[in-house]
Amino acid sequence: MGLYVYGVVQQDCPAPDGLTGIGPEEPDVHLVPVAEGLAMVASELPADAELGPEEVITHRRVIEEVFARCTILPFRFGTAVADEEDLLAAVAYLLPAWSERLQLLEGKVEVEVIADYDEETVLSGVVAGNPAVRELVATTRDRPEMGSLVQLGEAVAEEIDSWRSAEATRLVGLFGPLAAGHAERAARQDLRVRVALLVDRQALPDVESTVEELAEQDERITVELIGPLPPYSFAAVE
Amino acid sequence: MSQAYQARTPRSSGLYEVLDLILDKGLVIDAYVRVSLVGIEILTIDARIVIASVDTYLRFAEAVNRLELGGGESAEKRGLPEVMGELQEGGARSKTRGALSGVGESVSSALRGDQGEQSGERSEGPGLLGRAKEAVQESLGGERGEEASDEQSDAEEGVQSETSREQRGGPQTGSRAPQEGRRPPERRGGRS
Repeated sequence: MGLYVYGVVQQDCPAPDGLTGIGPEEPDVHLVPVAEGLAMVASELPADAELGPEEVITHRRVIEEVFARCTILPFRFGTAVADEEDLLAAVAYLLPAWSERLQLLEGKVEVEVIADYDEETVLSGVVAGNPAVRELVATTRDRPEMGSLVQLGEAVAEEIDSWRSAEATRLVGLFGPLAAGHAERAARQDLRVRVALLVDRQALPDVESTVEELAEQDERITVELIGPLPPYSFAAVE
Repeated sequence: MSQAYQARTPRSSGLYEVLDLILDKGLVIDAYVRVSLVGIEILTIDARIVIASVDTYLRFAEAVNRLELGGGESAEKRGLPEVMGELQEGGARSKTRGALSGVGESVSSALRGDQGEQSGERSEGPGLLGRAKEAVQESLGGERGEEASDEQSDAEEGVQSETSREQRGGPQTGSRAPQEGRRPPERRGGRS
């Protein structure tokens, strides 16, 4: 048997009763007290367990159910130790920093702003702003060879990368002091910008208004707000 | 355009949006137990391939050219690969959907491949795989370029858990990670 860990909480966290964790046996999720007034949210895990997409969903469910009661620093999916003794040994030196981080995150939530942009607008900007791209467009229009097409596409992709970073910075700026922290997130899609923000739970209505304003200002942007989420992006301590 | 805005609660939707938070973010410790991850790494590997592949570049090239010429029909005259036909509707929305289904499609095929090879007894269940399939069926016919298919079939073999930490190191690092340590030598010995 091993021990699967979901996150770190204060020992006084009123973790929900009857919460079940990863594995076919649906083991109870319990708190393992450690030093610094902290506790690990954990459940038993068979030694030969295989974790797949189903378990990703369970992992997320446990973290969010606990997060509904108290602040939690989530572990990355797939973190397990042999037993409590090993767990204590593995986390001992990290506990002071985790304790500090938990206090910092008290009352805060993560939200994610996902903005999708009109393709034509973004690409027009890219073409207009880069002479090399314009030249490649002319070349490939006359002679659409694979090599030059790839070259053009690569140049456009680079420009989109820069555009995305700049746009992420601009989006974060819109939230001003509402964002106690921010992180740019991998977009996965080309004309999309994602930023994770750390905000006070109580400021969520203001965050929503800001997102609404953004959507109203520019109809070429489709904005979505996801959350409140546990502070996944802000848990790790450097 | 306030309809564009919708707040969503994490529990009711958005697994795809939070997937890489769960897989890439959060605390890490020196764990003493190595957990077998089945069909997980492929989710992140494939997302990177979608972003930085020849397929993507060709889509951009096609989109920029179409922009300049001001019409979809001339794209055919230029003889660009058929694979890009799925994007000719234009607009960020359809493009977005194309990319998403690209991920979903190869995720589900990779999961199937993986389960066949490594854990045939494992039941799939609904959840992530089901959602991935839905995403595929819901959109586009889903032909993809040869380049992308090659990369996918490489990626399908790379589901060993040993390399998971390294591979999940950073979602923004482009196509570098998929090259690392995911070719079982005994099966790919003939490869140069």
